Amino acid sequence: MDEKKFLQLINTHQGTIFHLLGLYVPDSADKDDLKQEIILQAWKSKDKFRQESSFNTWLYKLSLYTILTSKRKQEKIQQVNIEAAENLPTIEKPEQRKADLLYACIAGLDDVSKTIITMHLDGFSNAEIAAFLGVSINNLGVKLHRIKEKITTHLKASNHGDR
Amino acid sequence: MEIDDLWRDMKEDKGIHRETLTLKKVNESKNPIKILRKNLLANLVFGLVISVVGIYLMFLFPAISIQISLGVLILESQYFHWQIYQRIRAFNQLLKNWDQPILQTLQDQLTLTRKTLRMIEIRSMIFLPLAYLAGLLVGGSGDGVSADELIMNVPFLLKGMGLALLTMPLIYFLMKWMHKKAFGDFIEQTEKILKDMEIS
Repeated sequence: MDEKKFLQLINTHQGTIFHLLGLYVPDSADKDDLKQEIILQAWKSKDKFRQESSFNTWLYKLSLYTILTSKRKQEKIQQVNIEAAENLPTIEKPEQRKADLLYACIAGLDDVSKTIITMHLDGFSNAEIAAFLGVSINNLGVKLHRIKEKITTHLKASNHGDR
Repeated sequence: MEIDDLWRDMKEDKGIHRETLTLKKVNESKNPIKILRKNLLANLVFGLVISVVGIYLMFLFPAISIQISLGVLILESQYFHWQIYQRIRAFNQLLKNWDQPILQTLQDQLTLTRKTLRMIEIRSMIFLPLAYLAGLLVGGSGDGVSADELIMNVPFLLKGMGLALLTMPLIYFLMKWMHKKAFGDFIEQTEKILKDMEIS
């Protein structure tokens, strides 16, 4: 694959990179650094793209891998203040508020939980997530169930607060 | 499922971020693994240059005591140069193997980083006494005093070794502090991720 075709593919699927950077990396300087690391890593690894999965799936995993293995600073924002998220100004669309709360919940999870729930919500099967992480499917299933319970509890608590 | 619907809505609302991505060589990567690898490479090159200088000094100063102390120092450094070279290769392999399970990679990163930092700290400790001795013999000889006479001079030896004993712990702990500043957060974060995956 030549550089031009590679960059075309990267630019077509750039939403994947920015989606993950937005969730995992709050600092904008770090975001820029990691964005370049991801593109460079993708370029170096392009021969490993086997067409067994879509380019988007391949890029998703590579991006996530680069982000998780490059984390340096304690992300203060990780311990999301759920109360602060629940005190978001009331807006006309309660669904939007819930979506913001869901985003805040997920962004505030630890890296492993965030990876599990994000990959699950982005359409990866349990087997794929388990293989990516290097854990058993049972182990993953338990973790996923607990994460969903935790998020649902927060969303329900927010629901009651709205009434 | 509510969470799935909300997630989909949230992604749609966030919209599509568009910019033109290009391939740029990352000169100053802030990836801790790449930084450590770069430091090792610099260490290796610098160490080899110093070894060459040491060999040159061996020719310049024929005294047996200098020959022996420099010889042992040079041999000792080649052992560490070999260790550094192996570590660089291991880091290169780690940076290439991005498609293995991530927890395995993080564990490998952690183990390799810790071992490498420890090796650098120990090397600084082991080198110092002999380096001091060789340096003092080279510096002290001349003006009619040979290095072989100096080595039999107990007060001279005590001064040299005293200096080494004083600075050894200082340099060791300075190294540990610098490593903690540079890599402490990375090690802590990696340990946390690995711990989070343990099911209680």
